[in-house]
Amino acid sequence: MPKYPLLIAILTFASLTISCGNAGDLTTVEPPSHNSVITESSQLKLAASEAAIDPAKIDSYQNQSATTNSEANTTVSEIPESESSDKFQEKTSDSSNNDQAHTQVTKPVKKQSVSADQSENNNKDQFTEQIPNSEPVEDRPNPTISDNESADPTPDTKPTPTQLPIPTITPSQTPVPTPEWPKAPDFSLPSALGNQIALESYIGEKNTILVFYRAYW
Amino acid sequence: MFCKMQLVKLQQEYSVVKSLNAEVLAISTDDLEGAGWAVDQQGLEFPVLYNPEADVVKEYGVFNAADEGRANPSTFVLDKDGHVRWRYIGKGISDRPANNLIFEQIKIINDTDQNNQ
Repeated sequence: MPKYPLLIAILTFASLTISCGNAGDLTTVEPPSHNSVITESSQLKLAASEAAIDPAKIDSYQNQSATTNSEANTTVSEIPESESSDKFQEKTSDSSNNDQAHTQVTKPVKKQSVSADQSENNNKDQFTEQIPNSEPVEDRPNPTISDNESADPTPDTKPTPTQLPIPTITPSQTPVPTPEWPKAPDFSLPSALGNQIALESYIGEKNTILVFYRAYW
Repeated sequence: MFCKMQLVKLQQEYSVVKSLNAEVLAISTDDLEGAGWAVDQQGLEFPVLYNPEADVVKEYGVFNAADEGRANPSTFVLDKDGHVRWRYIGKGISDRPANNLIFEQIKIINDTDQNNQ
């Protein structure tokens, strides 16, 4: 009798090892089913790879992603607008607050001058070069521009085809010779009242007087 | 003082500007504060634009790096089609065209444009 337990123990052990072997077999055989479980839990990854999933699933995934994308887009596009308009309102309210104590205006202006200093040397060359240049329109744009380009890589000074032929004599009151009136470079700038003003909006409507002034104080 | 004088004078004769079918656009490298101040202090009715990046100022060739990157005082008269018909580049801070000089040019533009049509 005492031997039985041993036998049983041996037998159970053997069966265990067999079942372990079977279990091992199972693990090697089963992956497909195992995978299918995974695909259900994480559709996204497998849909992205070329794992075999029925087309219905892919469709549903695409639909999902499409909707989420469009949602994301709309929210993203909305954010800057509201932000910028908020900032703008803040700014305008700031400026109105500062009206009373406006001796401080030089402060922000100095900041600008710092940033302007970075390109100052290059632009100074360009500017002083341009002014005394009294040649007719044809002579000017290309040579001076190419010189400047090789000298300074700053993007600010990059030549634009619309660049004006620069004044002849300083001060110049010379009417621009007809009929080759140069097209004024278009621009769109913020105004002190908070709206954006584009030169284009006056085209076909009104003559415009552009007054460049140094700064206001 | 000199800088604002032209704007003030144009404001004083803004009705003439309007009667000539023209608009004044003031541009500087000021920031919003500076531009807002100009409008508030002088009651400017025309748009006062600010361009601290100075890219537009540079495009018009009136960027003055020697003057802390400000705009060289200057006046451009554009016709309805956006062509530069006349310009006045100031020699110094106080060198600015009188209103009459500007108005004359606009009258010439209006006359020639009428003749061409």
